Amino acid sequence: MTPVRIGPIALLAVMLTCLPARAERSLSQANWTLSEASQAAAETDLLEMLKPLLELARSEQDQRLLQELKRLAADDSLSLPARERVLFEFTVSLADLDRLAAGADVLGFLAAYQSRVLVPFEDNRRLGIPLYNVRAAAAGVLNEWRRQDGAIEAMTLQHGPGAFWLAAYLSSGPAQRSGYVDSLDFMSEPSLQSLAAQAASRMASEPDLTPVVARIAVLLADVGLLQNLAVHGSGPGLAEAIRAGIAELDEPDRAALMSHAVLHAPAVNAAQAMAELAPGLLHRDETVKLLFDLLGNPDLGAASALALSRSPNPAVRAQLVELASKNRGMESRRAALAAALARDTTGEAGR
Amino acid sequence: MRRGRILSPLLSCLLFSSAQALGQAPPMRIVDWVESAPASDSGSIALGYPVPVPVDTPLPFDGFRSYAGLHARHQDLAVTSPWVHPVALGETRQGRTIWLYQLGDANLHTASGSEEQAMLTNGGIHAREWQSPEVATGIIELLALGPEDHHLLSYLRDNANILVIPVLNVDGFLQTQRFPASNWLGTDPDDPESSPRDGRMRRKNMLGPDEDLMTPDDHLLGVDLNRNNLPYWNTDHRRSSGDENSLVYHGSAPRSEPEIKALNRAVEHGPAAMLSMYTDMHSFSQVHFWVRNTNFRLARQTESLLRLFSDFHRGFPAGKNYAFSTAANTPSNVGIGTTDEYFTHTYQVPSWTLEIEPSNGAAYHSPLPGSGADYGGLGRNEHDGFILPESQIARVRSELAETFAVAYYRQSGPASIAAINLLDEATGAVVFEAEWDALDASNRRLHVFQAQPLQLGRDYLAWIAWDKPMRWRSDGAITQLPGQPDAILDVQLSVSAGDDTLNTLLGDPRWRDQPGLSPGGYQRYRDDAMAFSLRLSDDETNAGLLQGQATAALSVDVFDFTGTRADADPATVARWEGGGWSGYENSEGTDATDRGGADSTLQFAVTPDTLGDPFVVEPGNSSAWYDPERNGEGFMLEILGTNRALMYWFTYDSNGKQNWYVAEGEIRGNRILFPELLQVSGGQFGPGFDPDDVIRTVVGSASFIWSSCDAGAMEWVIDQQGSGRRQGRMNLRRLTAVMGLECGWPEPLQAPGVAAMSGSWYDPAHSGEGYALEVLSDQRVLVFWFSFDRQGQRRWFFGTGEIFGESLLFSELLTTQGARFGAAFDPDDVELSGWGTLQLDLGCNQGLATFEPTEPDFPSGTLNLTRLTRLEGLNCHD
Repeated sequence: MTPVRIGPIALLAVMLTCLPARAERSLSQANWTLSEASQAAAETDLLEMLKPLLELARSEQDQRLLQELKRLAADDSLSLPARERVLFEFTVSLADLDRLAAGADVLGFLAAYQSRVLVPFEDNRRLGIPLYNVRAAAAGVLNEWRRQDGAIEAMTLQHGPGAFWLAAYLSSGPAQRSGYVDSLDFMSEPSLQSLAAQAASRMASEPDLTPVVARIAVLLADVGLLQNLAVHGSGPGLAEAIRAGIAELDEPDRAALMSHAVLHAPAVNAAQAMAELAPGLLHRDETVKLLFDLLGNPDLGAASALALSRSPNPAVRAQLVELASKNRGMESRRAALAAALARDTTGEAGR
Repeated sequence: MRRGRILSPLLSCLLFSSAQALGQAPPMRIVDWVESAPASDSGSIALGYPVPVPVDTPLPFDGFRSYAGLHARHQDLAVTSPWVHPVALGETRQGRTIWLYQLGDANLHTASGSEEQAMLTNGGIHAREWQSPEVATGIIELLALGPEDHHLLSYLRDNANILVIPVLNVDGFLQTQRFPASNWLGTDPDDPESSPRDGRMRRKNMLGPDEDLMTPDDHLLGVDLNRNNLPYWNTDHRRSSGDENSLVYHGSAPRSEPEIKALNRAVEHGPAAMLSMYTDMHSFSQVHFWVRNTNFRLARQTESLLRLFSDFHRGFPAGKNYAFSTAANTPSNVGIGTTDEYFTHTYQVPSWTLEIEPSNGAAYHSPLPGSGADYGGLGRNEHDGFILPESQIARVRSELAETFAVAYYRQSGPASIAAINLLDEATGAVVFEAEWDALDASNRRLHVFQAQPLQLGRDYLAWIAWDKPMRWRSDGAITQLPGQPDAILDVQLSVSAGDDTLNTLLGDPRWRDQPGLSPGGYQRYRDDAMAFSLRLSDDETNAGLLQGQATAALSVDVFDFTGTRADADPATVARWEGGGWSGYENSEGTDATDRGGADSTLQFAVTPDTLGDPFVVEPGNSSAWYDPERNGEGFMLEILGTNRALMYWFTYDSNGKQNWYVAEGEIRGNRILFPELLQVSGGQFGPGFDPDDVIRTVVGSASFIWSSCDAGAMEWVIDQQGSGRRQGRMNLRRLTAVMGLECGWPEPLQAPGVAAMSGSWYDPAHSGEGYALEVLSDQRVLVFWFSFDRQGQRRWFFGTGEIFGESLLFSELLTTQGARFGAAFDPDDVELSGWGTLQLDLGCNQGLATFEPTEPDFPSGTLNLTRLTRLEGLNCHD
């Protein structure tokens, strides 16, 4: 693996992963109104204030930059909102710079800066929250750079054995993993296929590989990979991957994917697959039959009822009503649920 | 998809901030939330993580469900779980139904018969705060699908009335889900620079706007439902507004919005008088907001509840701390029109606004940076805190649902002692039994039965049960609830006579987490009971204090697992009233302190005399038993081998018709426990009887206790018939003496004889009806025939007969009617009438019954009998 300069990141990682403070204190009160703070902040020329700071950053003059930031933070000739606005905008802008633009000292200063301009929180205006949350922006820059690090690392590994790539991915932190996944967009199709084969085979035991398989499945529009994902994938992004992945699939492949998920996937995955696939397949008799067969299923019956409630076909509605009137236990209760959902205007969500 | 584009910093600065730098209003535009984008991109705001898109699935997953998915989930649980009960509360501005879900058994009564406290949790009042409906649904899922744990969840289902509104602002929520990644920027009248509006960031209800995001003129309209409430509606013009475009527009009048009217109606399902907690769930900032009125007790209780909530929640691995202000730092009698203010002032219950994570960048959350940056996000616009990453919601949902369960436990009421047994260690006999029975909604009555005074120098085991689970366990070992101090595990015990403490050797309390009642099991929930050894020292001090037989009191001081001290006087039922607990006395018997105390209500007789062993159940307890004050109903009891017993209860229903129950029990010392009282149905008298139609249903339980061979008491509970809980007690007096089973453990009757015919007999082709037979010591024979009429009504016929060889002749069987079950029983109502004749021809194990009824609609016939039971102490030899 290519070594990457991670000095500032490593230092800040320690700072940001400490346990939260346990002590309970009074909640902070607002000390500025939003309009007064905004007005005070706007009285200085932001652009003029940012220019020298960004120049120092671009020329990687860490110590001078740090001195300037500290001087700015203590500059009583400027209103506090103006100072914090400059600090915040500067920090946000760092994300668009090369990751060498600010060293550990600079990022450490920004990450530790506790904003003092507190304005009423819009969800409950008794609480004062930072108007310019410099700490959050600094953390965001750090996260962005970690992600960039991950992408760079991944791209240096993409011509090597897939196992190395996957091992490096799994040993990375969350932001770097996102960078690894980003890098897949720039990988050749043969490399993607090779990597996918290895990742998919390990996904059941290494659920953290799900985002990798999901992204490759979308890029390759590979129905087999999507089926594997539906069965063995876990964690966030599964539904999104299916949604994106099926865009390139024809109807039989989509129907096959849904059937496969229903038959072989854990219920939570199968329900997501049904959510993404069933609406486009409700005109198919086989799909409707599958959904009716699932009504009595303890785990998937509700998902089936929801899917059937979306059918515009009067015959399906009539079949639901008829089944609901019979004494067939769970099946009939789910049919009644589907019929009720079909009548309910709230069912429009997600259509 | 991120492409890694890097702009020049100056260009970035120019694009991003030039408008504000020049003092111009930022341009009005649609802005998209995206995962990645340069900071300079004015058309999007990057989160640093994928933008959640709602999915039409009912099942919880690592993401957010659409309203349709959530609603389908709620309604499905309502038809598949016994613990979810939907109520249509009203309609939104746009005519959509607002749902309330009542969780638990919904009978409004606790397992011990008092009224349940109600706790209302509101979700989804602000549309964009998607964490809230997910957590509300997590609560519903926990109560509906969580295991029957015989602990916290089982307790809540039985004893709390939990009310959850998952989505109050349905219209607004749907609007945010139509546009999960888009909103306006540059239009907010107060904060155009950074406050996005409508679409994903809609907060208000849908009074005014259409559902088309692209029509800009109306997109700021709507009412902030959390500014539409009394008593502080329109009283703070900085924090609520009369400008209908404002994010905090308070509406045209207090409670002008149908959503708020629906929320107000929810308390009717408590009912309002039983409400003890209200929470309005929002996001974000990871804090509790609350307000005070002039009720100091309420303030102290609210602070204590919030502390419990936050301390417990911080114990999860994620360690998320929900900050809140102490009562001293919380403003009094001011407000801005929120729902928690309304509930605080109207119902005097702990009420607060829960702001779900992420944190808000305040110093007390340090080192968390705040908003989306708490989870690796970019922190470019603090509104990203409303968009929790999909990777977090499953954790947030489950952690908060479990935390709410603990808060519900606290607010369901302080624990009080439910029962105590003092058992003689040597014999296992219960020498003292006391139990608090529900008298009415506010009061309990102490039932006491003492079989023998406690003796000095004798070893006893004290078993005490409370009305809720009292201890928390981790990996099977008792530990303090996360966030609670070790000290709450302490139990203080003492025994006194008058004002003097008796010298007593007390063992360490051992909590019971296995079923089985006293002394080895819990009463109703795991760890609702504990036992400890007790020995009153046989010394001069104690002997002098007792001066012959005297009364002693056991003092018990204990905290439940949330640190709430038990009620010192169970005689008054603790309930929330006027901002605190009423009927919740301290050690001095003073109410309205909200502190609880040591319970010294359990008093029992003690003697310095040596009395020997207490009575234990023996074969001679096989007999017919009745309560002299309830002549006309009673029990046929059979003591069997291996500590088993069989009981028939001949009684009535609520309509003056006959009824009977049967149960098999376990003998423990001087007690017989019948954990399953069975009701048999589906039978039919005569040739139409089909054993396959017979259904045996557990309807309750019963227990018997004896102080001697001739006297005792019994308790019954019927709580599984769907008609609420009923319970009662009876004194027991012997009605018959069975031949060969005289009191005092006689030698088994060896010779063949009619005495051994005693026992139960039935026809296998008529399994579900049968005879309980006692050959009496005066050469007569008593039979009870537990059967049915032709319509399936349970009936019983009885009589005494004569013995002719192996034939038992009952020339006049009798039957009854007219009396009613339980407390309504009056012996004067019993009407006796003849039923017919019966002849039993019995061997040791087989026999024939021949009957000729005189009551109309009962055909004559025969039954081929097989012995069902043999009484202990009676052997039969053919």
